[in-house]
Amino acid sequence: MPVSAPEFREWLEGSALSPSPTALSTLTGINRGTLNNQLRRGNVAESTVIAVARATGTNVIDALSVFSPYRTIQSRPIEPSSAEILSQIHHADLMAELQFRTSQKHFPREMRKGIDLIAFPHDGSVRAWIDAIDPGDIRQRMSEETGMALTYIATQLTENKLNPHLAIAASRAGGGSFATGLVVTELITPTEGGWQIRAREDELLEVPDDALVEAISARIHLLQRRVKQRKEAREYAEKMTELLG
Amino acid sequence: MNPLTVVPVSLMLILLGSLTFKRINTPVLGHQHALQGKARSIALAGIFLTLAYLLLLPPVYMGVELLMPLTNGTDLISKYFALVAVAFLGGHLSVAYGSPLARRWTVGAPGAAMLGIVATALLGTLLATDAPNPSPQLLDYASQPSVRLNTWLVLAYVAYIVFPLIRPAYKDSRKNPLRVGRLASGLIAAGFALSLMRAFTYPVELGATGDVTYLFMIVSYVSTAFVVIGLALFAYARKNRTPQTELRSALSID
Repeated sequence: MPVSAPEFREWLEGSALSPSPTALSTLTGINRGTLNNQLRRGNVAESTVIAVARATGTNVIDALSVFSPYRTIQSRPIEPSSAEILSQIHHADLMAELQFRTSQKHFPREMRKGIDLIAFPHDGSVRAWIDAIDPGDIRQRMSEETGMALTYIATQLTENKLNPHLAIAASRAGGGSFATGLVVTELITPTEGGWQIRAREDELLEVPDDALVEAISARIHLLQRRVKQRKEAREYAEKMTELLG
Repeated sequence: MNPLTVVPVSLMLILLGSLTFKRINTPVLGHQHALQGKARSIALAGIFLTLAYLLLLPPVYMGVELLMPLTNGTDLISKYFALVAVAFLGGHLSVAYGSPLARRWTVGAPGAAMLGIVATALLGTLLATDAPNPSPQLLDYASQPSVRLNTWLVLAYVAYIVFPLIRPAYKDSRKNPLRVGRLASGLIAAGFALSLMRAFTYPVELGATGDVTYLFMIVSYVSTAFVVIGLALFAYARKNRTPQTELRSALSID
């Protein structure tokens, strides 16, 4: 859902910045040709707005909320919910926490000392976020709002990505923070999206047992599908090298 | 002896010979020989193609000509070897890429019939050619209509075999989980596409004069090299057990 070029120019002028592609390129480091194309076509990518905001020290959420598709972004709390934070913790980290809680003798928490959680986005993290905020018909509602086909949404999720338009639609349908969708899809950083510095580590320590087990159970289901897909991919690769090698 | 013909043929011979030798001498599963494994058709195709190129080297050509009952019979034998190599390759790739269309065209009665028709037509065109002296690839008589038809028959047969294989090879170059597999299938698809292109642009080739004609021949050498290197990459992946090492545990994120 790119922003309109006239709105973008107006915003730049309001911030006393030159709308020329050369000046913007120098400011943001984005290729001049790319900027020129965006301005000429009348659609400026959200990433360009964010790059300008970052370069000028403006809050990226404030910058995005100037543009019509993102006006509602601040109508809800910016901070993520517990379920959203939990969705961005890798299943291996969830299982490690399960082990720590199971037996301090067999799995001492000190084993993990000095080792960071697996960074996100990780394999399946976007789908995990969608599942965490899904009221039951989230894909349908995303499709209706954006006009994008359900199969396209499924493909995006399989590739662990979501365009900003779909991320905003998902947040609207899920009733959560609009900013978190942009964090999960890597358009903005966790800090820009109102995440505490150790939000995931703290959430992992605080999550109730039942929520932890439920999260692991849901992830195992996703993992089963992914393992099956990878097994098929490996068998295919083996067959091809066997037959042609 | 025009270096524009001898040098590319020699280079192709080195490439084909070395890769075929390597394939045959690399045990597939410790005890299994390449000529006994699942990819034996490829090893056989490599042998036939190497022999086809070997016969085109002027000293070899002249030597074999002494044994031939027909002048330039060596060229015919070389082309037969090339056709058989392409037939083996087409049949095998149609199975490997899982293309029923390619299988129907290349394997069984249709494939054998097409090979028989082209082989007979090649003999017919050679007999119709006024070629009193030995000339590898009949280059000294290239202006004769029968020689032009003779050359086109080989190109057309190759095009017939590779046409249904381009799409499955291209698809594999997009979906193969191994990078080396994608590259290999990409090279094979590109090689096949070049072969097909040459067959369809043959009328343009007929208008070319002088050394330009050799440029068109180089298209075929390049296409052969692409396919051969693509197959060698698959052999490399198999020897190094790339699927097992690259796609280890489905759970690993490293």
